[in-house]
Amino acid sequence: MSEQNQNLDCLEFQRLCLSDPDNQQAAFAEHAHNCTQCMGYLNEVKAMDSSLRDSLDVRTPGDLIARLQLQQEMQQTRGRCGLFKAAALAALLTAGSVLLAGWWQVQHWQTEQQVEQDYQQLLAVVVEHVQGEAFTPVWEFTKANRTANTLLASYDDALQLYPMSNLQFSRICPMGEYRGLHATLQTDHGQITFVYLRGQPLGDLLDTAYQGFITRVKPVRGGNLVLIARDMRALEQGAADLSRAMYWDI
Amino acid sequence: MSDSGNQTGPDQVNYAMISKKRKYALLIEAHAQDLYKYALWLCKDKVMAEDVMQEAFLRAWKSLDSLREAKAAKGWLFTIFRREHARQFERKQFQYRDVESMDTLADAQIGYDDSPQAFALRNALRRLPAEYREPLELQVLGGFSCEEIASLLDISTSAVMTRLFRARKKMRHYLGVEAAPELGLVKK
Ligand SMILES: [Zn+2]
Repeated sequence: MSEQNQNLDCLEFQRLCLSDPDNQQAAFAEHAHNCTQCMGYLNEVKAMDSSLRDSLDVRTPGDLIARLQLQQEMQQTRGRCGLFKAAALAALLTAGSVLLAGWWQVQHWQTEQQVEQDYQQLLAVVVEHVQGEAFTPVWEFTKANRTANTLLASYDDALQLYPMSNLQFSRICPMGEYRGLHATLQTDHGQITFVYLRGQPLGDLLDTAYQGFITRVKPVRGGNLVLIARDMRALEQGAADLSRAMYWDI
Repeated sequence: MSDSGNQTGPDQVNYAMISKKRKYALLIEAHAQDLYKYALWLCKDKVMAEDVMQEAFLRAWKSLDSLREAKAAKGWLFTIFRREHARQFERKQFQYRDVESMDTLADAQIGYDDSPQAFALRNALRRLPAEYREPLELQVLGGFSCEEIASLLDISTSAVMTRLFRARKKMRHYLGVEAAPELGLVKK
């Protein structure tokens, strides 16, 4: 042991080792340098820390980062929508409604042309996502409802969901260029998955058989509801449940 | 955490000038991984860990303007997380009574290293009294300094150092590295 170190004795050094092994004090480094026993002790403590850190190491789910990012984007969109509404109102009052109506018609015509193409794309992307996403089993239905409501509210302040006792799972997921609420319902005929995407409602209600699923795209206010099931009865039951549960609080 | 620094380093200048959106992106980029490890360890459940994290980041976004210094970001974020976790955990505590007995199983499901050594380490950490365990978790998992931990836990730095000393002493004892004090035995 070192007798030459006046600043820290071995006992003090080892005490410091246990409370702060990465201590940056000069006296700490100097003692370690001059005392092999204490250096050994320090290495032991550091090795324990490093093994402990390794034992707690996990991979961060890639979609979690995406969801955190998305969450912020939605918060921003929400703020911008408010701004836009205010700006539109101001425009209406000051510039007159004729110009605005003309502008709207052009926009509307352009959107119509896109619908067909959008429908295909939307369905493909949603089904692909649903197939790739393993469902987390029922956790707690009150929690699933609460999450779904929070998420829906971040799309549209007015959109809400009455509590559904068969809601199992809900989360916001990126799906291709879209992002939406992804949730599942348990029915007497099996599970049904539904996705709510905000955007241009796609005209009529459409049922399709797609990759072994029965799918239904249902235009709802402010967006589209995509329902996916293996069984037609499950689809009908889920659709009925959802139309009862979704409402606009205005 | 308090904005501990009074230096005007380049960090601070840049941070004051970047957009809120960029700040948020940096927060995720720099700290989401560490926070997730910490969250998972505290929550013992992937779904809950992600939920608490999402909620914490949402709160962080909302009060991001109050964060003025890049250096303080991590502590600030962990503080928000810890508050959110306490809030949610309190509400759900009844659900977690059974969790302790299934730790081996839970560990495997979470995706932790399932070697006996790794399990022994986690178990030793679990056995620590909360007052010793918390600062050690923050130091080892969060990478915080003693001063930062003091600020996070709202206790003095010397109290943090004492708790960390006892935490590691106990860990070593649990792991059989360090013998418990022997009574009446004089070694020659
Ligand atoms: Zn020494």
